[in-house]
Parts: sequence; C-alpha cells; structure tokens
Amino acid sequence: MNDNTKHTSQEIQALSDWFQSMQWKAFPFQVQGWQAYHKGDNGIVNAPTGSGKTYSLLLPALQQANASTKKGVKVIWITPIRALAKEIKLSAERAIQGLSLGLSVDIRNGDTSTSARQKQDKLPPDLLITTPESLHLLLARKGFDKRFKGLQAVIVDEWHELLGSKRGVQMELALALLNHRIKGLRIWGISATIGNMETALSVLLGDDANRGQLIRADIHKSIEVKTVIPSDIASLPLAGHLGIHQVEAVATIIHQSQSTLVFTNTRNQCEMWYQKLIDYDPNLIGLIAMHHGSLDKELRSWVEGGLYEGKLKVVVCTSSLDLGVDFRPVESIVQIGGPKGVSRFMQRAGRSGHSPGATSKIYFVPTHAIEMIEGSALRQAIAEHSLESRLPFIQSFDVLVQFLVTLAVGDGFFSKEVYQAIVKTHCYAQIDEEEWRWCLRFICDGGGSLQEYPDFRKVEVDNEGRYVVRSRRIAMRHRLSMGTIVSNPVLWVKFKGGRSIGTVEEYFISGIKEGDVFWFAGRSLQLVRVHDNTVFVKNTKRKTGKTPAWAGGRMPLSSQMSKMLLRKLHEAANQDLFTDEELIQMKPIFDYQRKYSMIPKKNELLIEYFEDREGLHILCYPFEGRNVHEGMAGIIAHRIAQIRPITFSIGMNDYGFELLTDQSLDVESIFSQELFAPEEVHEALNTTMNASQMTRRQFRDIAAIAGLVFTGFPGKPKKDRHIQATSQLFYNVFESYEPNNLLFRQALHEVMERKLEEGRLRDTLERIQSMDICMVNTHKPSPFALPLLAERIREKFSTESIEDRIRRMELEILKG
Amino acid sequence: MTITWHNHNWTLDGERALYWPLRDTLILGDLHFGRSTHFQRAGIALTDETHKKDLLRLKRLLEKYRPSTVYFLGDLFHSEYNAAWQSFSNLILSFSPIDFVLIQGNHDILYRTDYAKAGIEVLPFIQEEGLLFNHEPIEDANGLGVLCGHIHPGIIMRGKAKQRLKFPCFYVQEDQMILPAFTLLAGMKVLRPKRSVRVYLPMGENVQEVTKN
Repeated sequence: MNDNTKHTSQEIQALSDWFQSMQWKAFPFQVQGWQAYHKGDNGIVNAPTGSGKTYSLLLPALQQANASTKKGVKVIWITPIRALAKEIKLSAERAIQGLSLGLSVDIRNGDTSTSARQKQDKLPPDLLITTPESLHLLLARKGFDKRFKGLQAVIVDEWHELLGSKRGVQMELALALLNHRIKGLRIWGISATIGNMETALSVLLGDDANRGQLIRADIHKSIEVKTVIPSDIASLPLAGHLGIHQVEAVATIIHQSQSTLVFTNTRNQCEMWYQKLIDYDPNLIGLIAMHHGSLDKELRSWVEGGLYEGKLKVVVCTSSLDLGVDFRPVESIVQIGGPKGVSRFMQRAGRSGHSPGATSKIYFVPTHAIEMIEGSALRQAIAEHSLESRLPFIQSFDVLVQFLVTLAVGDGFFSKEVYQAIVKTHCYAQIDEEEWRWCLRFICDGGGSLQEYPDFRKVEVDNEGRYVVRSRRIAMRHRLSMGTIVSNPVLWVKFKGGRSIGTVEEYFISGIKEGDVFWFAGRSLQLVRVHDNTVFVKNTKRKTGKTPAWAGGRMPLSSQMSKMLLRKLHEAANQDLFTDEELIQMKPIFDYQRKYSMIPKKNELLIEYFEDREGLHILCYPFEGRNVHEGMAGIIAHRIAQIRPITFSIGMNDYGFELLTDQSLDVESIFSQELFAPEEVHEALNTTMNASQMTRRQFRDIAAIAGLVFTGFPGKPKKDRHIQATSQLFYNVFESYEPNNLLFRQALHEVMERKLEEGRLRDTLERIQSMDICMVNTHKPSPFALPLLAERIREKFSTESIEDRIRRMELEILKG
Repeated sequence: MTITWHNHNWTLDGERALYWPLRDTLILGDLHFGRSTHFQRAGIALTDETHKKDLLRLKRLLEKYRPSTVYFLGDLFHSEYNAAWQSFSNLILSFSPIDFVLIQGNHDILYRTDYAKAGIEVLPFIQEEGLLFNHEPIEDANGLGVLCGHIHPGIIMRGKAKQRLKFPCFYVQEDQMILPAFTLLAGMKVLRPKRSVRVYLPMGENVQEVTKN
C-alpha cells in the first residue's frame, strides 16, 4: 500500500465513521464516489434526487480542500437553481462541523447583495455555491489568477437539467477554460438518469471524457400509475385539452389524501383548474394554492413554504414545481392531461412516497377519451425504464461570442489560448479556424454587414495582441445582458398599492381594455390602467373574464412515448392482446373507431378522409408528436402542390395531422409511399413557409444572447415590440446580404434540429417506407379525428394565385 | 377598372391609385415615405427594399398616366427631414410639369420650405366638382363626395376549409371613398363593411371587386 492509497483509505474511513455517528448508512454509490474522487478521477454520479447524491461528492471535495494550504476558492459547486443553494450550504456546514474541518462556505448568485460580494472578493470562501451565470460574471472581472489559483474542483449539480440547454453550453465553456488554465482540476457532475448518460459524460468532460467515470446509484423506485377513468366512459369528451369535466374525480382524490399536488401542462390550464376546484368545492379555500412560473416570486415562495410545513392540502401547479423546490413528500400526485414525456412523469411521481422502498402513486387524468391510451403507454415506459435523451447544443455561436466578450471585459484574452481550450468542448469540437476568426471579427466590429455601425465595435486588440474591452459603457452593458435565458417579454401585474402579483404577456393585455375583468393568480382582477411595463389592477367581485395564456406552453410527445403509444395501439388492433385497464375501458371507443375506420397495427399507417361543408379533410396518424407532424404536413402539402396548385389549412396534434382543402383531390391515388419519401427533406422543410417564420422567432433569442440587441436594464426591460423589430431587422439584413452569417445559420440549424426535429422526421418517413398505407373514406369524423379537428392553431399553405383563391371566397361583412 | 361614383368616372388602379379623367388627376392615399428610415434612431440605418419599391411604383404610375395633377391625400412623409426625402423630392422634381398637391395629414411635419423646394403645394383640403378631398374621413359633408385616406382600410375574405385572407382595399360608401394606403410597408385597419359598401381590391396588375350582393 503506497502513501497515496493509504491516505485515501484514511479519508474514507473518516467519512464512514461520521456516517456511523449520524446513524446513516452509506450507499455503495456514495462510497464509490468518495473513492473515485480521492483517486483523482473525473466523472458523473448518476443518482436521483433525495438519495444522498450531494454527499457522494461534496464530502471528499471538502476533505481535499481542507488539506490545501492555498488561499482562495477551492471548490465551486454549481447549482442551476438558486433555491437549492441554501440546502447545499446547510449540508456542507453540517459536514464541516461533523468532520471537524476548518472551511468556510458561501453562496453567490443573483440574490447575493453587493456588499456580500465585496466581502467574498476580499475573503473568498473555500466552498463557493453558485450558478452558471454567476460563474461567468466572475470571469467577466479582472484578476483570474488571483481568484482561481487555489481551485481544485468544479462540481455541477443537476447536470441533466443543464445538458439540453444553452446554460449547459455556458457551463462547458467555463469548465474548458478553467480546466485549460488550472492543472489537475477535478470536474464532476451529478445527474438524474436520462436516456443518454454517456453523452452527458462526454459533454461535461469534453475531450477528457474517456478518462471519466460514470457511477450509477441504480436506485429504482416503484411507481404505480392509476388512470382516472369516469364510470361512464361516454362522459369523457372525444376532444379538448383542459379536462375540467374530471373535476369531481380529482376533488375526490384530494379529499381522500392528506396532501395532493395537481400537475397541469400549461399555466393557463393551471389557472383554470384552480378556479374550477374552488368553484366545485368552496371548502378548499385556504387549503388550496397555485404555483406557476408567471406568479410573483414572493407568492411562489409562500406556496413552497406552505408545502414544506404541510399547511396546504392541495397545490395546483405546472412544471415550476418539477425541481428545485424542497418540500415534504405529498401523499397523492395528479397529472392532468398527457405529460408527453416519461422522465417528466416519473419525476412528478417521485414527489410522493419519499421513504426508501415506498411506492410512488400517481393519478393520470386524461382530458379526452383517446388520451387514456397514454396512461397505459406511460406505465409500459416506466416498466421498461425507457427515458428520454437530452440533446446537447452544438456550434452555439451566440453563446461563444458572448463568452469571448465576457473574457475581454475581464482580463482580456489571447486568441490562441482560448481557441485551444474551447475546441476541447463537445459543443465546439467541430469549429474550424474560419468560424473562429469570424467570431473574433464579430466581437471587434460586428463582422460583415454591421461593420459600419460603431455600436458593434465592442472589443479591441491591444499592443500585445490581447483582446480587451476598453469602454466602461460596453463592459457595463455586457455584464447586464449576460446569460442565455431569454425570457419572454412580460408586463408586471400589480395592485394600485404596488404589491406585485406576477407577469402576463403583452399580447394578452393588448386584448383587454380598462375596466375589463380577468382571472389571474386565482383572483378576479379589474384592469385599472397600463403604465410602461406595469398593469395596475384591483380586486373585483365580478366573476366573468378571460384567463391569460402564456407562450411556449406545450411540449411535443417524446419519441419514447411515441413508441409505447404505437405498441399499445397495436395491442388494441389485435383485440385479444390487451390486458391494460385503460385499453379495456376504451373498448367502446375502439369499437367505434373500428366501425368507421380502423385501428392501425404497427406496420400500418392510417390515412382517413371525408368531405363535409368545410371541404375535404385528409387525416394522417404517424403518432410522432406535433413537431414532426408539423414538418411532415408541410412536406406532404408541398409535394401535392407539385401536382397541381392547391391551398391547405393544416392542423396537427401529437397523434397526427390534418390537411384541409376546398379543392377536390383523388386521395386514394395521390397518397402513396412516394409522397412520404425521405429524400430532400431538408430542402422541402426550407421551402415551406413555416420554417422561415420559426427561424425568425428563434433568431430573436440568438440575437439577444449574442449581444446584437440590448434587452434593457434590469427592471426596465425594453418593450417586446422593439426587441422584435430590431432582431427582425438584423434577420432581414443577414438573410439578404450575409447568408453566411454564423448566427443566422445557427438559427436555421436550431429550428431544423429542435423545432422541426428533422432527424426524427426523417426516421419516421423511412419507417413509413416499409409500412402499409391504409386509406379509409370515413364519411364523417372518426374518434381519432375529433381531437385533431378541434385544434385551433393552424398553419396555412398555398400555391394558388391570389386571384384564383379570391374567386372562391366571400367578403366578411357586418352582420345584421 | 372604371367605376362611376358621385357623377364622375374613376379609374381604380391595381397599384393602389385612383385616376380622375375629368381633371386628368392621379390621387394617392397614404405614402408614409421615410417611415422605414425611422430605425436610424436605433442606430441602425439600413437600406430598405420596400422603400425603394414604393418609389419605383410611384414612378411607374406617373409614367403610365402622365397626369397634369397629383393629389396626395396626406401622410406623405412620415418623419422629420432625412435622406429619404431627398430621393423622393428628386423623383418629384424630375416630373416637374405635373402639379403636385399635398393635402396635409397628421404625419406631415416637414417645414413649408421643404415642400416648396420639391415643388409641392400644401393645402388643408380641396373642394371642387361636388367633391371634397381630405386626409381623414368625414361622415357627413353636406352631400359632397368625400375622397380620403388616413385609415388604411382593409377587409377579410373567407372561404371554405378555414381559409382567411386580409387585403387592403378601396372602400366605397355612398358619400365617401376611402383609398388604400399607397405604401406596401404599412399595416391596415380591418373593416367589416355593411352590405351597401362597394369593396375593390388592388391586386397589382388589376382590380377585383368583391362587394357582397
């Protein structure tokens, strides 16, 4: 036994002793973490929340920090959610005391006061708990060497949450730079289980990934899924997404449980359900609360506190309560409407029955009859542990140029050094020298078509070749606009007295007038006036009114869920196969579907069509999620239009899409495998108008991250219209004069990869090539068709001349 | 397309213009030149293709009709003095035998001398031949036929299969004709006409009547 391993075993003994003194038992994965850390490895600990994952890495990191004689921060602990910082700090302090270490701990994030920051700068803590954004802000300050010379490790908590986002890219960049400059730096991540753990490791460690360890906790929790089916199946509507008719069943669950969380899919749905539950049972007043991302922070922390102390009986919420909020396990979890993803559903289920070995129980409330099948698909996916992957961003030039300006605002940087560091990341492994030079030009003078404008001359090169920002104004503006979360522009809702309630989107307020009543945060509010970015309101007893909707509500069905759904349908198609409660209950609906149409087996693609007053409806059901359907519908419409000029109105949901036209078409002869050919998908997507509209929207965020548009000072955000207008203007300029602009190309790429899921679309088309296309003239809408026909958001597609179209249209006139 | 309204013949042009043969006059609604260059204030001066296109459309109309007079029904120039005005007045001056008259609108805020230099006469309104040319609509003008702009009228066409299209239009009521905005850049105000209103859509090449009978 050499000195080193002897030392390690002493350290581990110390930890075991402390655990014993606390009457805890160390999980195998915790001990593995301690050993790997002390050995000097990097890697990921894969463990669920509430399993003791923090101590698997925090403890050895503290021990190592204690052995250091250097000054400054030794360990940086990254937590993506501010709310978790306090909990980590408490855990660390308890360990420091228990292990008799002489270490200090502090938090630095958006909530940290200026004076506390100054204190930290003078006397840095040994363990710094911070966020990716605050870490970048540290890089935007002078004195890198002094600040980080003692750094031994960076540990990234909740890495799965960062992975598929640009905050993850931000993390990659900071890690690459620190790793490049600090010899022997340890990098660790903590992640819940996702579909692509290996990728998670290689993104965290970049080039060094093959030297990384993946330590799996393998703690599986049993989850029981109970689909709430009304006794009279016919009372479930065949379309709709609110699910309000199930209020009685949900109220019963609430009454039978000590405490309940009701998860909804959108903020709008959350508001509606809160309202309906109170209407149904006024006794809940005082025991029920609501939690979603547009409510004021104070209101939310009050709700979180109430949950923590067990004062609330029921909270209606959205994904805002998915993570980062610590509270006692609740007894029952209710999910309204399909959660669309397996991981999200399991995470929500995990909010109940925390004790080891306990079964988590979750009620799934379908909002329409066909959705019941999602309950049985979810159960299957959980049984097979089929979890979604998180797709990391690659070539995010917006984050890179922001990072470069950050470094220039700090100590300044040399091109060669930073290039060497960033090509080791997963995100920028493919960057070539030309692209790198473009980024440098961009931060110096805007590059290409923006060279004329002094606003974009941010960075200069000094005599030694160092890239620096000299202007204090530019430096200040940059620090204020750093970050990768581009929030939707909002208006603050406040009482006349000044108390804040939350935020709504501009377009919602533009639809209501002074004196109008709307429902928000569980109250009836009357609009008093709108001033700058604030909507002043007062309480009112009047009950009628609109409920705000917020953009970006709905997630598409994940491909894991798709596969399970298709399997369940196949079982339903072969009547004797199914044993699931949901499928048995759905028998009348399946019978009905079979009578007017058919249920597709796994090798069949169903296409229904019928004609009515509105025109010819063509409905196609690939069950691949709304994103894929949107792209596919566009391509099919585009290909039919090659045969003849035509106009379509296009609707889609997670099960399929509808093409509606006022022209007549011979469906049976037009629809064939050829129409679904996977060739030239990219080109076809590009020519459909949806792609360019989506790209414009995507570009808005990219422009903000890259610093092209200034979104305003904190608390004084610019109006959405202005940001929109300026980012649109840039988009137009790049489109016409600089199509090779990397930010413009990035927007196209992100839309293809993320919004239209081009890869998944191509896979689906390929799958269809070997399937039987089954066409049925249903003469009237089938049960599958009804939810699709009810979709209100529709896309338009036309290759006809306007004159031809007008000839078949009528002027909309004043009635009466 | 030629129509008769208030005892006069009128030629509706697909390029959102109105020609009055009796007085050999071309009449144009809101032009809003210079509007695009507003963005200069944001520190971004970008050549705007639509602005150029509007100028070209105007030039073609002047060449097509060779009118002796042009009436601009207000909101000719949507800004303070800037480079866009220069390119506009150069065009106007090159057609100098034509009399240009601006009926002043709410956005026309240039100095008198600027208009004078471009050879444009500025009037609050014109009353002639039983007609009243004004910027804003006037509901009751004592039996005069009012020709105006200002509101950028538009309508909605609906078809089967959830089809819905918005168009700018000539909005012809019994005593009032509202012209579409001439500029392609501005939005429109959607109107729901009564059955008695005649609606004509300028389609570039031609004009299509869509009045509901």
